[in-house]
Amino acid sequence: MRREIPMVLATVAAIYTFVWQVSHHAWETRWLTHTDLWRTFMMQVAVLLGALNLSRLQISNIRRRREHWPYSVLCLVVLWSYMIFGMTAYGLFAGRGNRHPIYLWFHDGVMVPAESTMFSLLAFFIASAAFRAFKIRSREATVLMVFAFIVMLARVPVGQAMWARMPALGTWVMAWPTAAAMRGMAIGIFLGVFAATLRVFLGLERRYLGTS
Amino acid sequence: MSFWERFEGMDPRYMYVFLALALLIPVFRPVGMPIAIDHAFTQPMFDWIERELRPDSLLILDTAYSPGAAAELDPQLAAIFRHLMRRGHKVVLISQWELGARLGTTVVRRVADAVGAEYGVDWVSVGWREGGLPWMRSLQDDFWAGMGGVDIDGVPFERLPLMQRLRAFRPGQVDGIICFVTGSPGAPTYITWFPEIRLHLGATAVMVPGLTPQLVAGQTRSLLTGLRGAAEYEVLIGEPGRAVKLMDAQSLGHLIIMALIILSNIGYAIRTRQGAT
Repeated sequence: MRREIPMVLATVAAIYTFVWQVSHHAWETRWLTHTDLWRTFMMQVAVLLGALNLSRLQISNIRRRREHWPYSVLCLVVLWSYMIFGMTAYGLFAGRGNRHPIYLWFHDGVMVPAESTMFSLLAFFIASAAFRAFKIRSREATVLMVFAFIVMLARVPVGQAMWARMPALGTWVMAWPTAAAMRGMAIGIFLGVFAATLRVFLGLERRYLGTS
Repeated sequence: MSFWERFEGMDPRYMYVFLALALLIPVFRPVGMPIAIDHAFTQPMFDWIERELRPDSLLILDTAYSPGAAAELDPQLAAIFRHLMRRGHKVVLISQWELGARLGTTVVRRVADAVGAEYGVDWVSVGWREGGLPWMRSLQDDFWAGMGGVDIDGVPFERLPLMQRLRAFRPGQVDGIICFVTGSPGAPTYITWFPEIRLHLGATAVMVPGLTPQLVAGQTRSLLTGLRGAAEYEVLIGEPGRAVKLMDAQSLGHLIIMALIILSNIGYAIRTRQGAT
């Protein structure tokens, strides 16, 4: 029963949601609004469960003095202090905590520059990776490189300076061959996701229950 | 060890120095190369705002991005907001990404101060709320309830005259959506659940291949592509700004990467030929 009940629940919820999503009746009666409310509530519960689970994991790391355990301390401090501060800055659960100037300072002074820096570093890694890995080992690799060069030149003014029609060529590459390839990939991904979802619908997929 | 073998084994830190110089020098000494306007991706956005929107239209601008994409999307947002204010349209700023709410508001507030747009009358920032797609869908029924009745700074909607016009995120009240995207959630929210409202996109360059099919299919009417799109838009509205200045740096950066790829391939070809003989 420990496996059957969650499985039945998952299947019923999946079929119920699927039917209501594609049903015009659900739109007309605004029934989707009700299911949306349940979903929103469950998402919040999932966030709390995630925070608790992460904390349990980190506490276990600290207790057993696993490798890099000081980072676990840091993780716990950041997670809970920021969360508690956010909720209490204007009074516990006042719902206004994320507008406190100090709370915003953490965002503007720490989060924004940290993430911007991380993303900016990608340019350097891409340059290094392209230098080492982008080799013409086959005809396919050659085609890939030619088109990569066309798009790279088309997207910057120097390409236009080299050849006036370079931007138009880049647009054509993006709008036709690239769009066609992306559509093919999107359809393939959709079919894969649909097949995986269907397995959950039919109760064939049981790995989320901890069993194969 | 031959020159090419040594070149192929070059310390990556030298490459980082080359690239850093290529990106920095044009910032201090811009060349000012001309920027062509992309008639398939960028021009439709400008034409729509300039010619098609009726006066005093209300648009939703969604800043669905985080600081990592700010270098590309902040200039797009600034240029479009400037254009909208110049044409006398109204803007409600919303965000599907928590970090995007603050970022977008900061950018728009700076431009609004520069052009004299009044908060609450010409534009409002309502920010982000937890809840994902269900939250966005709830705005179709009751925008005020979905947002908790307050803007990003907790100011009640009753005190913001512009919000009297926006009771539900539906056609008739909203004349268009411009979404600045860098991932998920982003454009699919509007393509799937708000298909009756005209959608335009601004995206980071890396997102463009994935979004081009939607543009070709007409699900989105235009697509600003990264910093280049922002630069084109600045040129279109006749106010060259940060994006235009940075295009020279991007040109040189691309050239450096291409030069490195070509040189490493020459080395690879020579080494392969030597191995074969």
